[in-house]
Amino acid sequence: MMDTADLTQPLTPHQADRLDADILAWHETNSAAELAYGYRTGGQDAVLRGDIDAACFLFTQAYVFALRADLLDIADSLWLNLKSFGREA
Amino acid sequence: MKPEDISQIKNVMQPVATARGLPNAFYTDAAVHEQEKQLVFHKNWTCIGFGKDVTEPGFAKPVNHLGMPLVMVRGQDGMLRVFQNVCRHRGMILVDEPKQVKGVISCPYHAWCYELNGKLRATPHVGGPGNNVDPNIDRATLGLLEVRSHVWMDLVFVNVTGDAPDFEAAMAPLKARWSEFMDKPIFHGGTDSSFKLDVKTNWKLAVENYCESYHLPWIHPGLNSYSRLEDHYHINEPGQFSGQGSIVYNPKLDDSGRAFKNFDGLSEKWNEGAEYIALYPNLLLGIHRDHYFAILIEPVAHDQSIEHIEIYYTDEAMLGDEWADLREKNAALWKEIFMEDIFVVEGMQTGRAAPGFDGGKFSTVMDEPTHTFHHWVASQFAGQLEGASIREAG
Ligand code: FES
Ligand SMILES: [Fe+2]
Repeated sequence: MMDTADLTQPLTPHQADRLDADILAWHETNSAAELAYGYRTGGQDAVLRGDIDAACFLFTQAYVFALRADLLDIADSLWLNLKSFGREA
Repeated sequence: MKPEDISQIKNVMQPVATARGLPNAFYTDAAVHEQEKQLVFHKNWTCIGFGKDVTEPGFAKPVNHLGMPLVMVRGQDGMLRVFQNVCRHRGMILVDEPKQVKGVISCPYHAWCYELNGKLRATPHVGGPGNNVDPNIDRATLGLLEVRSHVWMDLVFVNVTGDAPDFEAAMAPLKARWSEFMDKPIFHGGTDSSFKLDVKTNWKLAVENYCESYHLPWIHPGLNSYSRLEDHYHINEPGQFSGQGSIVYNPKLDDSGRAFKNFDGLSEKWNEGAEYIALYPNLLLGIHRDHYFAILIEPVAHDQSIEHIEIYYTDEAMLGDEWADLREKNAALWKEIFMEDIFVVEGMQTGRAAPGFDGGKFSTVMDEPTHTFHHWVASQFAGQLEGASIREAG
């Protein structure tokens, strides 16, 4: 299941494994919206763990899939996120 | 092109009484076909497709235009734009099949994203993982390469070189001729009003055959019974288009007297008038009071073409199921006629392998629209002619 809510605490190892598996499956099916939310959750997890490079990688992935899925509000908020970390122009 | 072919171009540009037709090489030589791409197609306004194939905002349809990958895109603003179908990064094809791309065209390779107006929006990881900025990548200069385009009568035209006269100016003579039909809505008849014909011929022979009525009694005897040769007149607009008109258009598709709705506000001339015009280079149009059709001749190779036929009606009501049988009848009628023409356009292609054929001899009375087309094609090569004379002089 894709989780559209913001993450408030880091994923458990089990949840993280589950997210990885989901993301791979969504790549198989070209499920852009699911991938946008999934990568965003991954990015939020990385922020909570303090790994900004990993977070920006995952937010960038999320950003592209949000654009592809036409989820423009999500794309805009991801873009602002990336910009705040100096990763977008 | 060989020197003798170039000198023969001069003969094509004579008045019809003394002119010869285009030399064989214009039909049989792949090298001439290559030259035509630039001189005949890219420098002029050329039709590449139909707006009805790209109606929804965010829909994109790739087009192979003479080997050049293009893509037609309907923007969120409703505008149809044409781009070269290539990513500015590493040259990947962007859109491989007709599809809804939604908000962006996203490259399948490294996922650069372009807005539907061509602007480069996202360059993921371009400055390293998680960094989308590279000071050497200026997004403002890396948008999609737009091709000059214009939509008219649902026909999508491009001018690849970008320096042809303004579209409105280029089409002014035809717009004036068909002024009564201009700016009236047209409605594509749907899947039953759309078909393709593969023809083993050079695209020009399909144009030439369409221009003339001379062949009607022999090739279309059925048509001739209610639309006789003497009921046709020639249409000649040198440099633009040529074709034929009929003064006895009177369709009887249905015994019960049902008939398609006519365009509003037409003058009496069109009660029984119909016109068939080849708009240079490769578009064949037919206009009648109750429907309009377009045939886009796609030149696949020097000896191979695809005719894309699309039929339009005057009112949305004509698209309903209750009109499907009449639409199908109308489409079948035209298909039969166009198929009757196939053996002649293919036969003329075969004939052009005869080395003694010298371009042929025009009837001053019956072949003028054909000659007008030949003259136009030849004049597109006029620059080559000057080059040749300079070389001869030198
Ligand atoms: S080729 Fe298109 S993003 Fe690299
Ligand atoms: Fe014909």
